[in-house]
Amino acid sequence: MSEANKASKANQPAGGFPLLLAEQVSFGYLHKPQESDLTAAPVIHNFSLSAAAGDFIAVVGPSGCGKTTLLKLLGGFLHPDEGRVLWRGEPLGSPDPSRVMVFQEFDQLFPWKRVWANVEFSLKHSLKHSFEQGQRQVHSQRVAEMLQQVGLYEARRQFPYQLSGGMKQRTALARALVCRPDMLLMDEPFGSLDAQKREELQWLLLRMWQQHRFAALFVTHDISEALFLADRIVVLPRPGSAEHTEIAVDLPRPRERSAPEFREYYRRIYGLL
Amino acid sequence: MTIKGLAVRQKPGKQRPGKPAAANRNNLGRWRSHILFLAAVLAVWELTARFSGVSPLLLPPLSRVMGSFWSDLGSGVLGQRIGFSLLIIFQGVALGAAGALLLSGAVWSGGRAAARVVDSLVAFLHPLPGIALLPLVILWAGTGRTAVLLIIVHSVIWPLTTNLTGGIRGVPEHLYDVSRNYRLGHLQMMTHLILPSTLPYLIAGLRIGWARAWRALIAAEMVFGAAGGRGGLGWYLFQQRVFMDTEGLFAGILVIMIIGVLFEELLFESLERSTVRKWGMSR
Amino acid sequence: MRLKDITILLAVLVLAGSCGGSEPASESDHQASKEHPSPQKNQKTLVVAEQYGLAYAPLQIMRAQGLLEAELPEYEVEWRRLGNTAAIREAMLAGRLDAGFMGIPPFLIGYDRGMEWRIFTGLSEAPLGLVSGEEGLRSLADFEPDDRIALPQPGSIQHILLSMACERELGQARALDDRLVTMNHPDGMNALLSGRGVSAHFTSPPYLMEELAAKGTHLVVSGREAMGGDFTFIVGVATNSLLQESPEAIGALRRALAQAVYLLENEREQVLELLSSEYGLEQETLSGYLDWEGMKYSQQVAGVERFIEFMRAQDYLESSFSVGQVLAGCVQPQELQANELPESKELPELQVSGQGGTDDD
Repeated sequence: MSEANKASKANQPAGGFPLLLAEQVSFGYLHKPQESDLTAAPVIHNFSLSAAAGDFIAVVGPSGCGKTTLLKLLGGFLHPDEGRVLWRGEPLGSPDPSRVMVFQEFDQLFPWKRVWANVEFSLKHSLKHSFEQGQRQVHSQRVAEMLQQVGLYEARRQFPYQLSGGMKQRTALARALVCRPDMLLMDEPFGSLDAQKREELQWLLLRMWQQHRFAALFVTHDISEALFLADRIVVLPRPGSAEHTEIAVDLPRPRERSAPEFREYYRRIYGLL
Repeated sequence: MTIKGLAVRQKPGKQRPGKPAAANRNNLGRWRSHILFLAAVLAVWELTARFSGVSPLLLPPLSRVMGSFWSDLGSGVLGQRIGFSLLIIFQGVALGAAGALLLSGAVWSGGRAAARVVDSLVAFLHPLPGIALLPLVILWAGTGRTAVLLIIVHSVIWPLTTNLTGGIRGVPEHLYDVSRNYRLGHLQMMTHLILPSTLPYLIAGLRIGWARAWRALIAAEMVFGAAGGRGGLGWYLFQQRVFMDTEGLFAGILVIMIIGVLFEELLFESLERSTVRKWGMSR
Repeated sequence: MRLKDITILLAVLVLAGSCGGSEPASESDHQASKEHPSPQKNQKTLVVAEQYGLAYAPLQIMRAQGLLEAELPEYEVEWRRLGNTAAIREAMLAGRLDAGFMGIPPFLIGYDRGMEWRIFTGLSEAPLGLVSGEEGLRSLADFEPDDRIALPQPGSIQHILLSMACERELGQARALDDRLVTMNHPDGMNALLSGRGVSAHFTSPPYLMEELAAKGTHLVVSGREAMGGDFTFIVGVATNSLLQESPEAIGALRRALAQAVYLLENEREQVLELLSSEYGLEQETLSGYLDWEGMKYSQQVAGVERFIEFMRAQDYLESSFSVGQVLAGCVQPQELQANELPESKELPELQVSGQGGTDDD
């Protein structure tokens, strides 16, 4: 906890509010028996986190420890039973295109929309309150650029079922980023991919992060993935046990998985799980 | 026609080329099977009727059935009956579909209470054959077109509602989350998410509804007929029956079968091909 | 693809083969059912169909008292009650029935289409009529295009009588054909009395009486007026094979009928008790219906000639045939005038069975 607080303070811009601030957040499904997620029944207990713009934070933990729930709490999809979540110093409202979620599951794409339309969808709906002149042209240009950046421009006329898993996740990433969010909330987005594809997409994600400077909250159960990507890693405890730990990763980028420092961090986090 | 879950997962790395040519060939193949099957059945029929010594009142030869078919077609009687049937079925299916959409919309927006009410409604009314309601419908709506229409709507609305509510429950949670993420309103959610997501179920439901509507129409008309000049194919069959025109009876049955196949192939198949199958939501 | 085609062809051939195989089998079954349905008992069966209605009352008595069974000890008698004439006709065509009771016009239509059957007896004359619940509908000329007339089915005796009335009063037999609604009698009565759906109902006893007893109804035209004379409402029809091969069964049916009619006329209390539960009517009401003017049970057959003539003229019949061709040894009214009592040789047997009836009690 003390380590976590220190880390949070270190990242807090002087005088301003952090982009996202979670203070002693607790949440349990148990008292809401009508929820269909009852089987998962994870409990978040006393969780705190501070994220500034451009931070890359990974959350690792054993399965069933409530990683997805945590992400939904920070995105505004769920509301904490205790504690509070602040977005730019204001209490967090409902979900919003400034915080976009990306899921592990391939069915997060609209099956009836082509790749292009899936990406364009977020742009259309995130900009609906700020109508601009020549919007359509601006849209097309941004969608095309984004598709080129994730390497899907050639596949823009495909339907999701025609794509490989990696391409589906690229599409999801493109859809999330095309509306220029301040924060990307990723729930094991590469968890269903094979090792090679996963690494490819990790590189892509880093490239996009460096280019667009969004804050990233990346949930994974893969320690090496977390170490490869994140500046800070939050280690969630097993369900029922007490505290989470936050570790600052002080390694130069691009990171080398075989480097001894990398392995040292790996061992340290592994020991916490 | 199997409706899989909405997430048709492909093995990673496997990329499908566009497959219009293959689909076309399959389609032709199915037509060929239909026609071949029909031809074989008709040939066996004609031979049996001619050479087995069965009374023509039981099994008239195909040639006489076709004679009856052409003469009723020529006189316009058959055309009128077909037109009447199709019109009332379209109306019944449209009304039933509208009702089912309203009910399932209520299930979606009205939460668990609405879902429970609709579930009970379906549980009680779905197993009830339309014909069983006929005496009541006659009391309430009188005889004639309205009564038949009510029976058709009854036979369409419940299976369609079952399908649609099932489809709504099967919308992937992540698509809800994505839609919420982009602040889609209630109505937008309906048109952008629920409607396309449940389309496979809607089409499957319409198929069932269409078949049930035909059954209801024919059955209703064969029980209380219709006002003489205006009736559908059920009325046609009924008239052939009471005047012991077995050839006409067979002609009527053939017409119903042909209409069934045509609509299955031309309407539902192409609807599926141009939507849910194109999207990989069903195979 | 070619393999699939062949599969389809094979499937059809196998199907056809199995049908063809069963065809002769069913044929012989059907013959067996005529001759020796249950060989172990060495008994013949006689399957007779009736319908529901007051005009079939003698059959109810016959059935309840076992009159036919007593006359035909060597037969196993089976009774079927079918919902409408078309069903009886189809069952007889399929060889599932030997004899049935129905109106004359449906019989004539079947005969015209090639069914091998004839009338072997009359059963009843009855008051039929078109009842309306609307004050303004006093004659056929009052019917507007949106007035609906309920009757059992096209080609039924009710329909033909209505056509006759139309020809007589409106000059055109099919004048009201586009206003017909096909309904069985109970549905028709409900529709008429509830004031929904139909303006008039062409019906027969007991529905005719019940409708006329209700408030605000009246008779627009009676069957007798429509026909222009007396006619038999329900006749007994037998397949030619029964008529030719089992004349004893036909004789027994006629004798049992005569006994039932005798009971109806002479054992009123007993009959009322039996029929009132059958028809769900109070004994008093039922008694009134049985004495209703025009209600008459007899074996004579009247009106066939007029029906043939009219139906031929209106194209309900395609071929020409005479009364003699369709009747098999029936009593016709002309003969009756010459000789008041039908087939006197049946009278002694009738008395015997009357005693049998009292033995049962």
